[in-house]
Amino acid sequence: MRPLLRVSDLTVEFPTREGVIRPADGVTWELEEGRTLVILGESGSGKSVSTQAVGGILPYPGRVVGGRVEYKGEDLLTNRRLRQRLRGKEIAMVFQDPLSSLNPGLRVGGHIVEMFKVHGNISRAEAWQRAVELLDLVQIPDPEDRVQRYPHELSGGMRQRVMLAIAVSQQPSILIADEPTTALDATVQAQIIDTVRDLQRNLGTAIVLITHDIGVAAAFADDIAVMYGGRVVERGSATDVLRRPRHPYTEALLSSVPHVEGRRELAPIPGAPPRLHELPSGCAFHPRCQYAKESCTRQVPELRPLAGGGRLVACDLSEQLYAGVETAESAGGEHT
Amino acid sequence: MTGPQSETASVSGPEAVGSPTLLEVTGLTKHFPVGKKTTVRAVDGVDLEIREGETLGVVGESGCGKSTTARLILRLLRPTAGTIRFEGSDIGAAQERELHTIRRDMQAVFQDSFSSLDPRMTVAQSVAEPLVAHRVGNAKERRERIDELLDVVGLAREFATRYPHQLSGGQRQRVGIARALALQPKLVVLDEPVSALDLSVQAQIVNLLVDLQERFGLAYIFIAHDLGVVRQISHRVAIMYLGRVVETGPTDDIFTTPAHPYTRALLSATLNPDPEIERNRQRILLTGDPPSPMRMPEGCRFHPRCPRAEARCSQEDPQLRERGQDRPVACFFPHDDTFDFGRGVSAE
Repeated sequence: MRPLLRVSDLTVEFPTREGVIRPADGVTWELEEGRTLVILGESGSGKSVSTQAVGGILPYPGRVVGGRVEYKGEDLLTNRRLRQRLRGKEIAMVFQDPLSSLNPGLRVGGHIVEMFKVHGNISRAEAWQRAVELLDLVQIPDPEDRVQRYPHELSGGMRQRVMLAIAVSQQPSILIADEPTTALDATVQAQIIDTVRDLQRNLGTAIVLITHDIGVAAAFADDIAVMYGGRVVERGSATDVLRRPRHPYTEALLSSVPHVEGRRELAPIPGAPPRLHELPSGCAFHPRCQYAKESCTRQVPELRPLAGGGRLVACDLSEQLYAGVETAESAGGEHT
Repeated sequence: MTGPQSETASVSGPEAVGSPTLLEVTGLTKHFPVGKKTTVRAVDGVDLEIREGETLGVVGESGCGKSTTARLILRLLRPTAGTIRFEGSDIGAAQERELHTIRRDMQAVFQDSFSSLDPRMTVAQSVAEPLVAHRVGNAKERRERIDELLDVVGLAREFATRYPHQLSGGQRQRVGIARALALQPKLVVLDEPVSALDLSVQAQIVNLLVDLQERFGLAYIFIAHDLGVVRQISHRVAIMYLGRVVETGPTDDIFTTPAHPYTRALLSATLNPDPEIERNRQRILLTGDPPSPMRMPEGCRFHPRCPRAEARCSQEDPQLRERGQDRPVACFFPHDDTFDFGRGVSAE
């Protein structure tokens, strides 16, 4: 089956005083209809920039210098008119900070009515009625009242629900959400996660969700792409990636997270994520990798399918490192 | 190394300590006037106890008053009411001169290391500042102490001459810790010290804090919203909601048999990194948002969102009461069964 959205070799450059940097370098992933792809990464991994490039909202002076973004087979990077037509309608976006995305002088309902003015052809009265229904759909209590409110009158969680209502108002086939729950308290985050799952079940929207939080990734993802230093280093089903990581970075990240369900020995990753101005040679993770060999400092590893299929890993040592781990795991042991 | 699901080996964490009390906070209150008629009851009768060499994790969502409590304990703010006893003497009403002495024993590390370090000072100058302020040692002794402190927090000597903008977030936080340790305090207040750090760096700082505690017998007040980190580092935990402590006790007890319905909701809202568990979980979903500390609900302040609330809860304000076994809770209908994370509900 052809994926709904296919991003291939997407490369973004930003000129800076210290020279040109590449926050996204050869980013490749696919999104299938009705599924959720989580892009997981730390600061500087390129997760936001690559997705902004996909949505056509790359901030100045960044520019796409290579790659393709195909929506149902058509390249959005070369066909700007198509991208213009799709944005907001077929491809909708939600960001971390809803207050800065909402117009403070416009009532909640007004934002949604505007979407219908641009994309739909229904009357104003109908649009207000739809706005109330949409607020109800994203589980905002008392929607008839809330539709008349201004953004500052709502809590952070309610604002994020309003953003979701605006985003799904035109029944998009793709929702891109950049850290949508990061600014929210834990109990509110849990409510929003629940709402987004319901929306997806009811509307069948495919979701690209960007996060740095492994728990959020586990809660949402069908598939996960792990990014590091501007590249996708591992991609596969959520269960595969989070239960059986096959890239040393994913593995190290998972063993450095504390668990709420019990104390355990934390194995921190030494050093810090690389600055894009001084990316290490070869594999960007090699200076922090416990398995790194001399060869890792020379060649950038390609994202390649693992034997057995279903997974892509950008590590030349992966097959060797993780051979036989499966059995060791089921026995509860550790491999070295 | 293996995936998270197989890390079942239990790790010996912080030992329960039966040490003497270092800090005791009773009825701590801070009301901020807003306009003429309203007040924000940011901290509204907080009781806490910290023992020597022990970590108290203080947990709660935004607006619960955890950071204000920290600032009151550090006496960066003057309390409206209540007592703060540090080694027996009440510092709640202490004057500046007394505070100067007390602050040698009580230091702080904040979330945002970038804004808490002076951008024009080198690392060495920042670390030396408390020594200078308290006139500790001569220039040579201070230089030696700085080298020693950098070593203790895992920074190489050459960092001494660098400026904050030349450091990574983790390195800046290490400088903040070195600075806090300069005067050999007994208590360090850590306000979200790892929240702004990248995930791969967080564990370095968490492990460092644990090592330093063992090495120097430090007591910590560890304020955080990440319950995983809190479980990792704390001997005891206090859960705050709208300006009050609603439940407190030994860490493992709080996480296995949380008694307050809010604690259960909070634990239930945490996310498990295993997608198979995460997707099949049932959560306790609270309705609504935390109310504003300007319009505190009558009765129990949690009752409008509480799945267990009864008539009494909207009329009477439950106090934090000891129930035996060091597990005080402020609730008329506390849970007493084990909590199951996988199902987000009580285990039968």
